[in-house]
Amino acid sequence: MKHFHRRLLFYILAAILGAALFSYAQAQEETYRIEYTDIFGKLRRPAIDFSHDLHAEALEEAGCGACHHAPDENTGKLVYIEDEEVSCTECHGLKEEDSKPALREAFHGSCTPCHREMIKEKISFKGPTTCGECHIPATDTTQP
Amino acid sequence: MTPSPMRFKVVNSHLSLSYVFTTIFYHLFYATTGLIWLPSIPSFDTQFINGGFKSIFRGLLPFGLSAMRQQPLLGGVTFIFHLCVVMTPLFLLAHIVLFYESWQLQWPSLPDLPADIMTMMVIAGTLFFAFRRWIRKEVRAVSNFADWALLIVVNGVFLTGLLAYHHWGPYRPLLITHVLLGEILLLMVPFTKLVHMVLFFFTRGYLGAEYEIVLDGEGL
Repeated sequence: MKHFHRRLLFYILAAILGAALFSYAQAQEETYRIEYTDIFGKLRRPAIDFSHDLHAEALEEAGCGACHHAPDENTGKLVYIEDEEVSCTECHGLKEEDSKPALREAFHGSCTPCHREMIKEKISFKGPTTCGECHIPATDTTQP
Repeated sequence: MTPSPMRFKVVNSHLSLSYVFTTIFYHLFYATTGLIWLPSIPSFDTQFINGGFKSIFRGLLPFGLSAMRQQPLLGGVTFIFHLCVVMTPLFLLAHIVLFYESWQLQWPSLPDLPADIMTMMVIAGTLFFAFRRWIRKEVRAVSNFADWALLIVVNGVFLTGLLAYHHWGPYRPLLITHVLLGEILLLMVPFTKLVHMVLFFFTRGYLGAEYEIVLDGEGL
């Protein structure tokens, strides 16, 4: 009986340790903050924690070109050029110019259409689909 | 029974929807065919039109009408409430961003703090109107279920919007309620007193036109 108790205790401790490790790994999922305060100035909505890995995995079939694009040197059309992924702010600024959408609209235009499609296709995991599911104040203490 | 002390009698049915639309139809008919069809409707002269437009303009100003000056508290609250209830949804950043996604059109937005304060003023305004509807017995007597419902819905739309913006409470349910109540509000327009959104200009114009002739413009 004594041994049984000891074994039970061991299992419980192992489960707690496992859960803690698992949640730690979840919390450590690599995200980076999209804020671009150099362009936007003082942010009007909380900045976004974006996981590149998560999206790269989900968009494996669609390819990197689903988000990354640059104008082709000859035609001017938007194409994906491998190993030449540059920052969005290379082209998109605070205001719309020469049919290039402003940075805010470029971001919204890259994120929301996909997540809306996921609602339509009834995929169980849709990710964020409303304003406040990306712009979460709790994760960002430096901005309003 | 003593006769009414009023100098003239306002026939209530003149304010009805059918009257307004008959008037519009009559004038369209007259303008296109040159035929006078309904002889009972007042003549379409410049004095009549000017009186109508004067009344619409004065009705949009704070304390522009004598009714607002007779009840300054109600007049003041009404003016601020209407300013906020119209401006806040039209110039809110989140609404403009969503409008852009659908129509690729944008216009300047209100800063967040003023929008926040204006939303709270709308909520306070609905509470004021509900309180007034409850305690003033002459107002209570002409209140029906739809009047209460529309106050509750307007309050609900702005309250859920405010709570969702601040992430006070469960975000997704709040936002969905906000959208649903907004749609219900728009659906309620033709069936409740919310119709004054559209008909304000017609009733005001009609009354102003009548006053211009009957009271020589003194009725404003």
